[in-house]
Amino acid sequence: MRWTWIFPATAAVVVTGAVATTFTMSTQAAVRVGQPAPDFTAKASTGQTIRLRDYKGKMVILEWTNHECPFVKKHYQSGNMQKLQQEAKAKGAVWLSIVSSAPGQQGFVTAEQANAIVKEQKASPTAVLLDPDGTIGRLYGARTTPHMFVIDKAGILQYMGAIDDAPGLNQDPTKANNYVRAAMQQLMAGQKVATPTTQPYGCSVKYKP
Amino acid sequence: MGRRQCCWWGWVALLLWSWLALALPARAEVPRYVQASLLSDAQVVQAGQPFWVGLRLRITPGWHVYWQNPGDSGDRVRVDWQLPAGATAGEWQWPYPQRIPVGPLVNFGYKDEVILLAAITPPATITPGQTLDLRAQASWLVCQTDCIPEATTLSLSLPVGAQVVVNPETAARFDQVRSTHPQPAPWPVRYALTPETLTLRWPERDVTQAVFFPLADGIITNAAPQTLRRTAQGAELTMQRGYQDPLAATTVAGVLVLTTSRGTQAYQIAATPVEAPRTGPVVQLVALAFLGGLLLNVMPCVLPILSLKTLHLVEKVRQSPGQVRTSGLVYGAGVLVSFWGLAGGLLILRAFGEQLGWGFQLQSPGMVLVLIYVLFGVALNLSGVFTIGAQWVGAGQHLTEKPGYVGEFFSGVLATVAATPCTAPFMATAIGAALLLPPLAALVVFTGLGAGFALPYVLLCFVPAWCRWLPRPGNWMHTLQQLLAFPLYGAAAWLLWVLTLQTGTDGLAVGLTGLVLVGLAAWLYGRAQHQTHWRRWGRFSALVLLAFCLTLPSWLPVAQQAPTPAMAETTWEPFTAARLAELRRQGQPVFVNFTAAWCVSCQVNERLVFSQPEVQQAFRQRGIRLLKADWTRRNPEITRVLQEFGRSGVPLYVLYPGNNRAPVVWPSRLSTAQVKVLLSSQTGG
Repeated sequence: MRWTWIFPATAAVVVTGAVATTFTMSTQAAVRVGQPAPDFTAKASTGQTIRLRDYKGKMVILEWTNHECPFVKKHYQSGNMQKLQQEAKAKGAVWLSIVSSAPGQQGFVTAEQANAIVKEQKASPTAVLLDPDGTIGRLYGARTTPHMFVIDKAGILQYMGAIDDAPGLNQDPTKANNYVRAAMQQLMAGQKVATPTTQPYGCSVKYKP
Repeated sequence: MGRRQCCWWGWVALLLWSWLALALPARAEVPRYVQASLLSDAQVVQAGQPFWVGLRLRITPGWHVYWQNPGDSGDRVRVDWQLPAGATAGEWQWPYPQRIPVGPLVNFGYKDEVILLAAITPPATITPGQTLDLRAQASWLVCQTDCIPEATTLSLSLPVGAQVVVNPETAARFDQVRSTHPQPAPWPVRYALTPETLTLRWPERDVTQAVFFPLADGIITNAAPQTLRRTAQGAELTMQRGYQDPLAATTVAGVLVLTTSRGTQAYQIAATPVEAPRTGPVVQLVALAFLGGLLLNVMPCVLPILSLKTLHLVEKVRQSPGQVRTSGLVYGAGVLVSFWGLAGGLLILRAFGEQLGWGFQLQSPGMVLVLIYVLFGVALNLSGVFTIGAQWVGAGQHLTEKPGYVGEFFSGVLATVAATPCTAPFMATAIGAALLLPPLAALVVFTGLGAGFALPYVLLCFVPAWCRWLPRPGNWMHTLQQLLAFPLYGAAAWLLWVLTLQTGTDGLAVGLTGLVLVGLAAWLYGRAQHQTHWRRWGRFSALVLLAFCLTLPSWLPVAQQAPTPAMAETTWEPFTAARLAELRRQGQPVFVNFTAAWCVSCQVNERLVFSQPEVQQAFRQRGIRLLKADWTRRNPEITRVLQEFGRSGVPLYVLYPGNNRAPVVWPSRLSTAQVKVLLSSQTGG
């Protein structure tokens, strides 16, 4: 039949049009807990190339950091962050500290500077990732330093948000309820993360303007 | 000022400066970027009498402090009161914030200056002559790109008197501040979700700018743009969703800032999920739509076409049952596709903010004109002036050689087009709901409607046993076919009347000219079919004439604003929302008749019920004011009210019983006895 294409064609046009109006605003999706954590490749301060998917089978913690940010300082000067990193390591987890500050912005570091800071702070991340153009930061929607993400062994994002429930600069982080620690423990015990999302606090990530 | 004096001042300044420099290390807490102070709208306070205190933050230009929800980063302004025993402080009132972009992030906060207000109630035991000492520890994060946490202790001492003495300057300033406080929204706000977006909907239409500030984090992606769109029902703001997933069934709370022709106003909202209005789940709606579709089959504007089709079925089923099945399915497909087309059209129109309803085509004179031509053309065809028959409405002869699936498909389309004027009560509700549903759900509802409409014929094709009940073919079929042309002529004539109401006698002239030309084209075409030497010229000129007819809608005069004859009746006042509100304010009972000239059931009710003296008498006895909302032409005000009742078509009868009691929707089919019963049960007496 010469005309038989009319039916499928009309149907296709109508359905496409309706669906298109539904999703007119489909910009990049927000990262969600319970969904696979988006993969990325990054340069570490030690010169290695790090790929997230290479860590499948291990729990991964992402920490957005800026060594000049008062909120980050609070956690490093009190030894709170270092302690958490050691605990993660003891559980066999991978800890990636990510610096998304753009050159010229607060917290931007070269590879050497990053290594020096790790040494000085006695920190023990698996790697410090340099993300000066903010690709990974934007991919994860990282907004503050610190902004924490916990990914389980299957590569599913299980926690995102603040490091703890003590956003005030004068609050003692060692006495706070640490959401990341709780998430790590619950995941290790095979439980669901009780508080999977919180509002992150701290300095804004100093992205390339 | 003498020279000596000048030097003297210089020394004092130097001394002061060095003294300050010495004192500074001890006062490291003095904020650098924000000057904070406490203000009171009472110069003298009175025991137990609340007054307002403002925390004023003056912010260095280019820097900002944060709102309750700081957005992507930052921290809200925090204040801890240290009040004398017995004094109480109310919640801080926050002016609406602004969006402050920081790189690719967006914060919610304030620039330059902000005043937070709180009501303070002094202890009841305090006596005149004492002072009330207020102390507050205020802290905030002030940011440009980098952030500085600052804090300070503020105090304010106020004398206590026998009566409150207002500080007029501060009181006036506070009044200004209050105009930036979110007010409770005067209308409900609904939200709709897609996997990626969150859309807020509200009925206020006159909006040029809108910004939403959620109270909780992760509801929206703060930095993503917010898109404002005006719709038939009001306006909607679409935002990208944030990381919070289980939003469904919870409220979305925040501040909605709208800029209208009257200025900018912030509203406190707690949006609830969009629901299919007064219906429930989509399944129920689809069922309702399906029933509505079934009912359409027996509507007078569809029955002629359908019975014509069943006539051909008798012939065809003998030839080959398989072919009949296929053509039944193709007919069904035609119906479905045109329902989808209608749904798509509705959705697109909705997107463009058009005023619409199920009969929306009939509000546009151009559409009416085209419909008149189509109906007239089909009628001429039935009368035998020409035969496209085999392919179009299926006049049958060639079907044995040629399956005519295209014809089946388009007769499905035609049946749907013809069904539009018959707004069955079922369908009105289903479509009204569909208009408020997300597009995909709306499509599903329309599919239900189409399926119901197509089912009877498709079933007949599939169960040949039922075909045996069909009348036997014979010469009477042609008689019937020609007879069936007359309802179509009637429909065209009725539409012409509608067109006249819409565009006046000039419009009528254009319509009639078109009819004559369509007649001529049909005749030429018919000649071309029967006489070979006519063929080329006949078809060509028919096409030219038809093309010319298509330009006629643009000749139509602009829709008249004068009231239609029906509106001029004395007992009915024309409806306006303002008039309705006024009457209701006066506590009067009001009956509103939503009607249109092209709505058959409205006209029936009008002639047989409302114009009856006994009904008029019943209304008069109870002092009920009668308003008529005439929807013959587009009227956004009326459309909005219909939407509020979950309808997209007329008739709709609503009784507002007076004394601000809730309105009652009456059934669409009425009788005089029923009106009297309804009136006495709903208004007493």
